[in-house]
Order: sequence, then C-alpha cells, then structure tokens
Amino acid sequence: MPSGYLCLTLHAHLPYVRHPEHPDFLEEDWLYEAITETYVPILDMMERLAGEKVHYRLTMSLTPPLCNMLADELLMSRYRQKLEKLLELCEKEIYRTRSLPQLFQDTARLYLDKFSRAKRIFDESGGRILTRFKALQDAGLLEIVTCGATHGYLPLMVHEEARRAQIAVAVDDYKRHFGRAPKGIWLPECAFAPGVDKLLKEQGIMFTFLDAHGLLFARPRPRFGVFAPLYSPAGVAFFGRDMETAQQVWSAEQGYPGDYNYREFYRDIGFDLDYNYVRPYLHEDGVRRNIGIKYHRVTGRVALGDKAPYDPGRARDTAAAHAGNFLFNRERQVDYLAGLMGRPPIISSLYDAELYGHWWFEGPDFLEFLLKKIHYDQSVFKTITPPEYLALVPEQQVADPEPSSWGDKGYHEVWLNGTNDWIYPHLHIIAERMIRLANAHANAGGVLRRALNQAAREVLLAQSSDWAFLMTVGTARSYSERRTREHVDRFLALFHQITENRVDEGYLSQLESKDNIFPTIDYRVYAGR
Amino acid sequence: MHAYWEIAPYTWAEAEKTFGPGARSGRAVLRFFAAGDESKVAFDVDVSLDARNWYVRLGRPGGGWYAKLGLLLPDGRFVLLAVSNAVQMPNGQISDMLDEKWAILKSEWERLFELSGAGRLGAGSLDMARMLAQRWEMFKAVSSWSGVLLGGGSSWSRPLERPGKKFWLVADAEVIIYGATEPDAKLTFQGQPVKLNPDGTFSFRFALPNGEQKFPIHAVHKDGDLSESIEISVSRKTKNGGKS
Repeated sequence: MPSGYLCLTLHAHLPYVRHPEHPDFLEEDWLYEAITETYVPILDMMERLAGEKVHYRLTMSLTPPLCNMLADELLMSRYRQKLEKLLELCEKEIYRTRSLPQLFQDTARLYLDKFSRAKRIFDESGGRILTRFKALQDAGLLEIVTCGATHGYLPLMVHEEARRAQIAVAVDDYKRHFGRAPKGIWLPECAFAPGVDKLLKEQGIMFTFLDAHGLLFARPRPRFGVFAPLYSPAGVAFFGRDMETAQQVWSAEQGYPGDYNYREFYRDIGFDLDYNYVRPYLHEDGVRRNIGIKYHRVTGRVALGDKAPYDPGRARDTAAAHAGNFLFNRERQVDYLAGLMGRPPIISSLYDAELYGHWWFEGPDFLEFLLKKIHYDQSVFKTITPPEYLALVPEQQVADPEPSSWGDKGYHEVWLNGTNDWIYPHLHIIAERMIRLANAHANAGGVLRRALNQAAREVLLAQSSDWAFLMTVGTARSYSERRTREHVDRFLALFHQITENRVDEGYLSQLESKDNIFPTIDYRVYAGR
Repeated sequence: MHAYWEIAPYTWAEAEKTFGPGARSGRAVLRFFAAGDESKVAFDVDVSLDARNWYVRLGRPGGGWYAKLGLLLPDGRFVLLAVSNAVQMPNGQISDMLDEKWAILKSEWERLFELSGAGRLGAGSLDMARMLAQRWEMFKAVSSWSGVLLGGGSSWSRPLERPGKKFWLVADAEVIIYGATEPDAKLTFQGQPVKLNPDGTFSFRFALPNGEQKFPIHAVHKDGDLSESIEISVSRKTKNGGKS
C-alpha cells in the first residue's frame, strides 16, 4: 500500500466563442490552437499509457462551453480546415528548411508529425474527440469533472437561482456528453462563497477544489492542512491546492517551463518569415500573428532575436529530467507528510490544461514521463482521483471553507474592480428578470418556450467569468465588453418580447443559431424552489 | 466590499413625501450592519450618490454584512433609499477555532501549515498562467517565460500573521478617483488617454504615498470643440509610533 497519493488535475476551459456570421473569426483560434497543442496531445498521451498498461489516474475538468464547442459541427469543420492548412504549411517548411542547419529540419519534421497525428486522432474520432475522453473515463483512468455552465463567477451572483442554474445546467450538459452524472465540479476560478456547497450537494456533486487558503483559513482549523479534504457542513468534499507542486511548475526561479532548452513561445514564423510566404496562413486582415510553428528555444535572458535554434532531442531529455525531479520531490513530500499525519496524504496539483502544450510545449511529454516514472520507478505514492480517495479514506474533518478564489490576492478582486464593475448591475438585473420569467411561466410550450430557453442561454453566456477577467488584464478587452453587452441586449430584447406577448420568431431563430450553446436547456431551472 | 445603486424617481418622491422637501439635502451614507443584527449600526461610510457605486474597505476580516443607502439629515433622521443583500466576508487568516475531534500538537500543526504553502499563498502563479493562456499582444515584447513570470508577484503577506502571537497594527490608505462624462468623449487622466466604461463613467484606484499628488482630468467632446477640466489634489501625512 502506498504512503500517499497525488491527485493531478487539469482544468480545461475556454469561453464559448462561435461566430457563424464571420467566415474567419480571430478569437475562435483560441479553441483551434488548444485542440492541436493541448487537448489532443494530452488525450494521445493518456491513450498511449493505457495501451502500455501503465497505472495512472488523472482528473480533468472539461467545462460545458468547451464541451459544447468540441461537439459543434460548424466549429469542428472549421477546425479541420485550419489543421489542413497548417499541415500544408508544414510540408512547405520541410522544403524550406532543407538547406538550413539540421536542427531546423528536425523541428520542422516534429511539427509535421505532431500535426499529422492530431489530424489522425481527430478524424478517427469522426471529429468528436470528446468521445475519446469519455472512453478513458469509462475505463476508470480519467475522472472528468464539470464546471459552471458558462464558467460564471458564483460568489458575485446575488440570486441563489442564478447560482443554481450555472450548476444544474452544467450537470445536465455533462450527462449529454458523458452518459452519466458528474461526481465533481471545478468551481469557476475555484471561487467559493458560503451557500454554494448546498447547491452542489443538491445537484449531486460530491467534491470540488479550492486554492490552498480556501482550506487553511477554514473554520474550524483544518487538522491536516491541504493534505486531506474537508467536508463542508452540506457534505461536499473540498480538496485544497498544494502550493509546492504549483510552484515547481510555475515559479520564476525554479519553474520548469522557463528552462533554456524548452521551446520559446514568442518567436514564431508568423513574425519571422517573409510576409508573402506566411500571408496565406494569417487571418483575412493580414496582420502578422503567431501561427504555431517556432524554431527557437528559450536560450536564456536574451532578446528574441538572439534565441538559439530549438533542439527537439535536448528538449525531450529536459522534460524527462524535470519529470524525474518532480517524482523525487513527491516521494520526499509524501514520506514526510505520511509520518507527520499518520494517514495517507493527498497532494492536489491543480493546473490550467492549456499550459501543457500550448504554452509549455513540452508539457505533455513531461506528464507522460512523470506518469511512467510514478508507475515504474517507485512505490511511495500513486496517482488517484478524488472519488477514489474519498472511498479509501472516508472519514474527513467537517469545516466551513473560506470564501476564496485562485485569482491574484486570493479573493474576488480580479473579477470585481474598476475595469469591470460596471457589468454587475446588468448581470444582476437580467438574472432577476430571468427568474421572474421562469416563475411566471410554469409550463410554456411552442415558440414561447423556445424564447424562454434562449433567454436563459443569453443570461448564462453574459455571465462567463472570462469577460470580467479579460477586462482586468486588458487583453481582448473590447471583445469581452462587446460579448457582455450583446448577451445582455439579446436577453432584454427577448424579455420584452415575452412579457409583451409578441415574440419575433425570426429574431429568435437567428439567436438560436448564433448562441446555440446547451441545445437541451430547460428555462425552468431558474424557477424558485 | 463593493456596493452599487440606482435611485428611481419614485424613491425620491416617496422620500420627500415622508421627510419633506429637505430630504435630498442630507448627507449620503452607506450604513453598515452586521447581518442578522439590525439593532445597531456598525459604521457609516460617506459616499457620493452620483458615483453610483462605492468600494468600502472593512477594518476587520470576516463577518456577514449588509448596508442601507440613505441620507442623514441634520436632525439625525435617516432617509432610507435602498437596502443591500447580505455578504459573508472572508476570514483572511487562520481560524482560532479548534476541533476537538481532530486535535493535533501545535508544533505539528504549524509544520503542516508551513508545508501547506504558508508564505506562498495567493502567489497568483496560476492566475498569471491563465493570463498567459489568454494571451497575446501585450506579451509580444516579452522575451521569455522567465521574464513573464517575474511579473507575477503578489502582495500577500499580512493575512498570514498568526492570531494571538503578538500585537500588531497595519494601516494604509488608497485613493479612488471617479467620475463620468459623455460616453463618447475623450478623456485624459494625468495626461494619459483613458478608456471610458461604456456608460461614460471612469474610476481609478491608487496607492497613496506620503506627500502631495495631483490628478488632472481633462475631457474633450467627441467633436473636439468643447472641453472640461478638473484637477484633484490629495496630500497624505503618516505618523508612525506613539506606542503606549
């Protein structure tokens, strides 16, 4: 029996971005890049390990907006076209680099291999990669948890019905994709407020995660720090983020991804090569942007122009060495904690999935090396999922978790400050009106029902925490403001049409095809209980 | 804590009916109460009604709160305009409540607490990463991961002070400058162009060091023919010491 457990958890999320009205929409690239660079490589790794009979457990949140996008025919057909163009460029790159130093040619081949593999996996699944994640869950290797329906920031919602709808719609949507109810949830931004646990329990959720202080500042004081979950009085288990593993991956001083052998993200052929050569692979507007093919390594603290060529072999060796270092540190950590606690500790390592592959190019390799080493090289600890741990160690302390989030400074400031506070009066009013609509129409049918369902979609889409977040960091700000305004406006238009009994079916159909998230939503989720 | 409001005309009409025409001349305050205990006022915060929202810094962690927005008349009467929802504030520190069933030696607990990441809390690394994942333009100039991550520091330190260990006091001040103009006007603040919120409002929050600071604000009509300026000066003096 191992002395302790590692709960590796990846949070995969992107806001719902889908613009059928434009043939080529910049922000949709967030999804296309993440599929090629993160989701498929992680899937591929998990499947390979399963084939090699390596024991491992991973926990992943696949948020409802992400699942809806990955199951959307339009977006997936666009993705396939993008990937084909990228492969075409890779072929050209093999030709272009034939007379350059060997490392460039090696790297060009690496991209061709990776992208071809992505295409094969995508095509094999009939363009529905979620089915492959589901298969891994069904095999007991992967625990998929849900999230807020649109990643809405629950503590900043003032209506209980609005919080409940975020959770209940997510739970329903999960069943549609994965054929069973979710056991766990990733609270959007790990943001918790008292009362949320009661709603989770009501929707059948067993467990969730918080940042470290969400447990450390709990009342009463947590006996085992973050190394055991707490049950809230409502009976939901809260796992606390381990800071040591968080830092090992992300700290500026000791973090792995900054290693000089790893690929440099910011040096991209979209900027480096002759404009006419890359022009066909840029967006319609012709502005130079990252394309996703990069030939340099971090090198050191030098200017972008002074970066040395990327060496795929050396980068892979470095990922293996980092996996070894991570393993060594976990063995020491688990040994020590097990002695101190007198029971098996659980170390919850929480990361954004998109960091693996998209930002840290070698991240998926690191994970694969790590999971193999855990399986073959030691017996101190094992990977585990939260439900398995709760079954193994059923008795846990009961305490009230601290209201908190995983954002900067640990509370709600990232999502509520001078750059974005103007959105909340609007979000609260549309939620209140949605609740009124749901209470006024106990059992609507026909067009009215469709209008009510669409109104609920618009409320949810306006609530994505991504918009407030992007306003704070100042990237894609105008897009975020536009999205907030659009969904609020669309809701209000529907609200007036419904209350004045004059639903415009043409307008409604247009919204249904644009904002088509949650095809099976039932507006009555907003009704009071 | 953040409070926002919108006062409808009928609320004003009601207020004047009850309190007479002088109702509007009262001092605008947010009156805070401990949730569940309406019997005594915890504290008042002066606000400007036109700001339509206000950030309030609580002097102590934890507790449930709600507020009433109103006007304080010279004779002490309170003209109620709006009542807020209640919020539960975070504790921001280790709880002093112990659980007998899960007792542990103090030294062992302190060790576990350290191992749990005390001193590293709120390091914002994941948030930083998230920020990266959302990308793009602003980071183009940055040359490597390491460079980017250095920016991710955070100001978390005080909440880790252990209760009961020693006596301490921390006090600081910030300044909030806010206002509004036509939504399509061009605004500069300290000479820098500023993007207005869609409804034409703006607000800034700064650390307030000792000394005098000037905040010139200049708005120009979208046609460029009309303009307005306001300059706000703030001075701060801090005296430390005076132990007893």
